[in-house]
Amino acid sequence: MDRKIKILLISITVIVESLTLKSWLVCKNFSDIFHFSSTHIALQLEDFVHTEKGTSILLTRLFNNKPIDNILYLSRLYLQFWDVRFGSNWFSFIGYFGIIMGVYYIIANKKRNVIHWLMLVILFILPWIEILISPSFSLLLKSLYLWVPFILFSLYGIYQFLSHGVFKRRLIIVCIILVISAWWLIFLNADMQRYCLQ
Amino acid sequence: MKNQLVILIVVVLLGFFLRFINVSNNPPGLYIDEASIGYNAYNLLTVGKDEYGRAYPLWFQSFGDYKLPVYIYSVVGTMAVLGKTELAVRLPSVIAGTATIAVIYFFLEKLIYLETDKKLQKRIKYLPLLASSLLAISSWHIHFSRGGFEVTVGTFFYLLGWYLFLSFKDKHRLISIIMCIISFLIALYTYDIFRFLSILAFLYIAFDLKIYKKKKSYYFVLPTLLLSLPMILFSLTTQGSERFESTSAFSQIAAVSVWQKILLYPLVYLNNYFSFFSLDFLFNFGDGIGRHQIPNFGELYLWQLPFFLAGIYFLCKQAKSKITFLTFFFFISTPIIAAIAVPSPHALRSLPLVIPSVIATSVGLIFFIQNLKKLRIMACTIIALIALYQFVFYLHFYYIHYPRVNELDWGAGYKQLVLTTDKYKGKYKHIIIDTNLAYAPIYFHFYDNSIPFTVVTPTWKKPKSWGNYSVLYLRPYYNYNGGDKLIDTIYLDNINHDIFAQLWTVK
Repeated sequence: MDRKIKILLISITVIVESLTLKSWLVCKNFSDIFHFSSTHIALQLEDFVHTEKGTSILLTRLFNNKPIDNILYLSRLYLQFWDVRFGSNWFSFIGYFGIIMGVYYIIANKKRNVIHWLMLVILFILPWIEILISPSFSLLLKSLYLWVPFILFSLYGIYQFLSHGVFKRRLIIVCIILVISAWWLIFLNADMQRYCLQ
Repeated sequence: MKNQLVILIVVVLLGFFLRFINVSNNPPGLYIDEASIGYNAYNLLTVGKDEYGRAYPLWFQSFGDYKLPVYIYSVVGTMAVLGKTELAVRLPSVIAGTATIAVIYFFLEKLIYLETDKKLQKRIKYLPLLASSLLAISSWHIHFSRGGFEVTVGTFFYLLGWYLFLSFKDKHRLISIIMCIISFLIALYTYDIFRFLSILAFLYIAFDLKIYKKKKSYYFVLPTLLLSLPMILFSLTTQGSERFESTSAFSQIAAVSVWQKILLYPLVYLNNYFSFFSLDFLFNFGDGIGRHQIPNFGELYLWQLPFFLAGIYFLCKQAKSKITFLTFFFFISTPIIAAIAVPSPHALRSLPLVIPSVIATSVGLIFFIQNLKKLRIMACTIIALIALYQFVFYLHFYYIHYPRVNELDWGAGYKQLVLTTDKYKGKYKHIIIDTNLAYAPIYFHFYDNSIPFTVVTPTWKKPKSWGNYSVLYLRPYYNYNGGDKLIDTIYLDNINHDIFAQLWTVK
């Protein structure tokens, strides 16, 4: 019985998560907040150095240099991808929740194997394609490597979540998040303009 | 234990210096709320009334936002010693910010002492020291401790209340629970979010101590209710809900029908609520409000991210421990009321989040290091070096960039405007100020209340009744060609020395 309920819930989750694509397919591309730009770095550095007029050259060099700025810039771009506000639009709330649970249960699993590690590595590497290469094809194509793997992983996470602890309690939690996700995707979809280039 | 206390003293001293050094000049200038707090405090000190002539009020009308009393009355104390200075306005915040570093240590020490899982107790014995050290260097906490922000004082009393509650749980001393109630009550009257958080804390304590089963509890419940009552009643009035009305997230959406409201309001609320846990807010860009942060800096240091996440993970793994419960209680409860308002996320309204964030990061660090079997010293050294670099990086931007880039967020220019006007005031019969220098009146009140002035619109023309009386006209820099004479210019302290305002003689 529990197994059937899990499968039913996972199926509903797939439907809800698919709703996210509806609003994204009108976008031409992701906005530039995800894309690495060396010009941006150069301009930012110039701005910082200009502001530091009168400061010793050593200090200016220590805190305003390309390696440091690149590291900070790249980590910022990468973090935007994992931000809950983007995630709630791109994977939906339930998808975001599933991904977090997936990561949690893989890390918490003492018998994790190569496949688990591989899943994690792929998951964490995929956003770099968009950040570093920024391919200029449609979002539908991009969704094949930036959406599908994450959705599959989130389903894994939700399955794991339902398979641990008190089933009924967890079932209620997943149902609530599912309702919120569907409600959200149908009626609000806030912040889309921040992430989507129309 | 003795060693830990010595280190704690060093940490608190470091925290104090980070919050105190050059606090009068950086942040660069008093922002309008600080000026208003200072002006009201000065009036209370000198004539016993607020700016509207009300004697020792409990609520300060100020700009119509009805400020709560604790911070203003504490500034009265500092002004009595230091006079009407920027330092006096900011010192209560500096002191409360520094004291919070010590309180978090004792709070965690007590929490660990009360922990029933002895294995966990042993593993996290250095948590209090680490958490207080991280709070001492927390950019989020330093920033708000250096401005005249009520929330810093509120956070201090709120955390103190929790510490005293734990003390009571430990030794059942009457004084602890009395002081605990007083601390939460002070927090309640300090800043808006504690109107909710303190009440929530009272409810939690009531259920935890099962006061409904003990008749003697009513000796505490009744005074607490009586002392909270003015705030509860005030919150129900139009003045008390003014701040809520003006910043309400719901007033921003064009929902007309009841159905639309039912459909949208919960979603807007959830959107705001989760934004406080957004990585973008916590680690990337903060809330984007210049007065709340250095541009391009998150509320927490980037190096903390892996340990923050690890800390959350380890706390989840210890789901039944007291430390997990209280950390998540702080995490979950803090944005509940802040999420009703916009903009969201908001670093000021969510400052108490710094407490669970610091605890989570410290737990993550401790467990990470303990789980390392080899290269422990090397890992510690690398982490310490990265943390140190980012901390110095922050200080560099705080002291070099921030005053130059964000001075307008802090009302810089206004002080200079008042001081320059003061030089000329004897030569003019009338002094008029353009409305575009919107906040000028409060700065004139704070810095020099003896200068009489009139506020006028940019289309103002000298009335004929003023005849040949000389007029000093203060206005922002714009292309003006009225045939008047420019007598002085106020420049900003930024790198381009932009013009902030000009003083003209009107013929």
